[in-house]
Amino acid sequence: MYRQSDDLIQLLALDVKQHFKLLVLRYQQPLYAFLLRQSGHPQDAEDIAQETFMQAYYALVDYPAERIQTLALQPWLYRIALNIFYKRLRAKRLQLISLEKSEEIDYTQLADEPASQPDLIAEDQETLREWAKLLLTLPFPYREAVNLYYFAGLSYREIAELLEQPMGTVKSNLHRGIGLLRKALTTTRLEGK
Amino acid sequence: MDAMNHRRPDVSQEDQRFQGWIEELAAPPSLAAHIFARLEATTQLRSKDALLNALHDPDWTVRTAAVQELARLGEPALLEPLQTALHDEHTSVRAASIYALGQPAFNAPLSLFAHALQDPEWQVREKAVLALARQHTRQALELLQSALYDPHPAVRDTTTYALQSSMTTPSIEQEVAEISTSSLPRNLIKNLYHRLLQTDKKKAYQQRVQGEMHMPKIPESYATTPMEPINTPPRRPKRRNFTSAIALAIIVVLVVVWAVVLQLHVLPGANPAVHPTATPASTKPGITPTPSPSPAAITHKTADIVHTYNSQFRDVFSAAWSPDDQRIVMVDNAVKSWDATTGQNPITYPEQMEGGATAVTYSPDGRFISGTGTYAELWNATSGQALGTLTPPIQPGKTLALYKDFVNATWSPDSSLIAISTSSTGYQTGIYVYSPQTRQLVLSIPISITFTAPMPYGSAFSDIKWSTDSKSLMFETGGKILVYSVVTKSLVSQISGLSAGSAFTWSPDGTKIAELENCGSTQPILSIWDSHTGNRLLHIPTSFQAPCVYTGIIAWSPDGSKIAAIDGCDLTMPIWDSYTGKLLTRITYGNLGQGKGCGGTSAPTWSPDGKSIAIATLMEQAVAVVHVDTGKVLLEDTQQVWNGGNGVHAVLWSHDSKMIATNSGGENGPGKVQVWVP
Repeated sequence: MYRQSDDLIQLLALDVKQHFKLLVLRYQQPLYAFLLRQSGHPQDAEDIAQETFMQAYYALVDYPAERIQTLALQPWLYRIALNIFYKRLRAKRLQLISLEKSEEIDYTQLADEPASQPDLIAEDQETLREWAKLLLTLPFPYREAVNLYYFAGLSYREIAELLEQPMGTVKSNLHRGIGLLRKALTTTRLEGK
Repeated sequence: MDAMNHRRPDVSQEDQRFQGWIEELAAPPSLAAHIFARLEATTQLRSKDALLNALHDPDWTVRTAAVQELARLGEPALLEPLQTALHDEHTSVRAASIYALGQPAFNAPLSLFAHALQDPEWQVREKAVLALARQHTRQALELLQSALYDPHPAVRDTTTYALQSSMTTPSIEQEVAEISTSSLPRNLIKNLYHRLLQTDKKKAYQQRVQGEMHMPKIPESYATTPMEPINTPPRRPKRRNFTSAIALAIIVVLVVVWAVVLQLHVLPGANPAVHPTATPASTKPGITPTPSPSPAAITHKTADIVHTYNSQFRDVFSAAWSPDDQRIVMVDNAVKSWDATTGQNPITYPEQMEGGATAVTYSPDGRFISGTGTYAELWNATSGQALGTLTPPIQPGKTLALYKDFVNATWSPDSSLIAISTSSTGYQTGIYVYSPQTRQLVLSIPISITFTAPMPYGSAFSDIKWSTDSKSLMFETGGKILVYSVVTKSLVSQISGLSAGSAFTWSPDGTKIAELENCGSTQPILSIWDSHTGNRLLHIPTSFQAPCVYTGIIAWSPDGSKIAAIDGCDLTMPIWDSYTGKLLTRITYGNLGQGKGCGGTSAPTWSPDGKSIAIATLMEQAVAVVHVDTGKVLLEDTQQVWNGGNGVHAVLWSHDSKMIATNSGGENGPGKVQVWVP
């Protein structure tokens, strides 16, 4: 049984048809969770995840083995998934939470605030649940960044390559996204009291 | 947890905190079950007839599987159904089809791959690349090469891989390995060697994509049979002409330099009638005294005009150098290009929309020419082939008015995208980003801002500045700097606090923006802003007195360390240090030519090496090149025809700083382009 994605890549390079199920088993959980956080709707997340794996399969079948060996599987899968996500969004087949509230916030003021630094986001379980809900209120650039870095666990470099953005932009979006989340969390808690 | 295994090593503690939450987001069992079931269903297809029928199945996975299975049969008769599948609505079916057609057994025409390389979906373009890599023909490699400029990084990556694979295929290497021992004709040896050199060029293109600009030169002795782009006419033998012209120019320059030195050191004051005295650096109140060398010792040199293009039309509206400095594209009553130093090998680019272009430029990679006016048009630079128009949205109920509605074009540094900006009554004001490859709209940025102050130069926003990686662009509008990502198609950041109605100019690297406040004010403030933080870095009072139409045309030096401006009434050109705001020098150009008075001056144009500035003055009736550090006039020409609003529109440096070109004309003509060697 494989343990590292490198092993999986070697197996796929050997025979995609035989080993593709391993890829599904390996990535269905993080990909579904990522898409759920991105869309906020379980059915949309499942549909997009399914479409992603199917497209990945038919793409891999035609890839030469050498090309498969150069793939970074997880970012590659997320790239396909985001492609489908935005395509459906453009076709208005997704129901998304309005961003009007968050657009009123001055994003440019948030980058340097200590509270917006990602390294300071240690939270308890309850807070994380609240974060997950509030994540859906973030504009897409910030939502993507927080989702990919904190929840999907990709590195800055992987996110930069996946989103085709400079590393600085990724960091900036991440910091601003975290800052917005903190602000929204504080507001939510105050309203709750 | 499985999901934890691939996390970053530096966030293990966070992983533990997130673990519980992730479990709450567990994928439903139906996800994997559905995937496996769909995959299983497609494996049931066996016979050829069943596969052909499956090409029309409503499920795209069935159609894709059918394409892949048909490809394995490899029967030439299947070419037609596979070609039909290229028009499928689903990305994966088209991708599988084009890859299938890459099998040499199908002998598919290259036009199919060329078309697929323009598919709007990157997955299809990527498979077209892989299919081309299976061809192992010279023409296929040419097409592959063009994919290095694809807007999507995955396609570029795959192209790099494919070209490297082509490099290691035995077909070429074996041929060359046999050269030394074979008795092949020399021409064939040259051809084979050239093919390898071309792959070196492809490597250079790859480096160029990655930001490096080194292009290995092909040895002259082997550069006899260049591989021509498909459907393009044979390349013109311009290198030899260019080399001869440069050699001649060097000789002429040496002679002139010798004459100048003689004049300076042997015959001082030999020509006092032309420039009898030095002009003081500044006599205006409020102007910092010039700390650097004054422009006293003006040493004029007669212009060496290498080539003059005399237009049959009254005006040459615009001109531009090709990236390799070998060609000039220009527009009078048609868009044309020709060899810069000889005027040979002209190409005329057919007009695609009535109203035509009044501004032209090359894409940074030299492959395209864009023309803008009422419409934006694209051409293949080397073949002259019309590639279509880029038409931003038009306001509901409005029609475009020729020569009143205008668009501008700004190429991304990697030539993968072109931003078309509109600010007129007919078009919907905004910035529209297109792919020159597919001519499809990539990003729309509509702008609707009510201005309370005069708009700079009649535009709702500043010039567009692309990031060096071509992935984002920024501009100023209504006192805000907006940064948009063309990747995520969204607003990345916005910075407020600038003055609406000012004139803005980006620094070369885009990290700063210079703002010359309200055009109508006297002694306006020149501010330097950090374009990332929105902090004002410098606050420089100017001495400009006249309305902005004559003043305040500012230009950054190529390295961003200096800013030059034109004071059209003072007839001086102050240059500031962009880091400290200190006035470095004030170059007087008011004693050029014979004219006097407040008049129009072209924007100062820095030579790419940052050593000189070229300007054209309307009232002084001169074109001049001034050395920045010494203030000396290196070259001037006062023989321009200036009448009835006619004159030189722009002074353009070649990229190697060795030549300049001017385009001129007006209502009364004559229109012309001149190429000079300063």
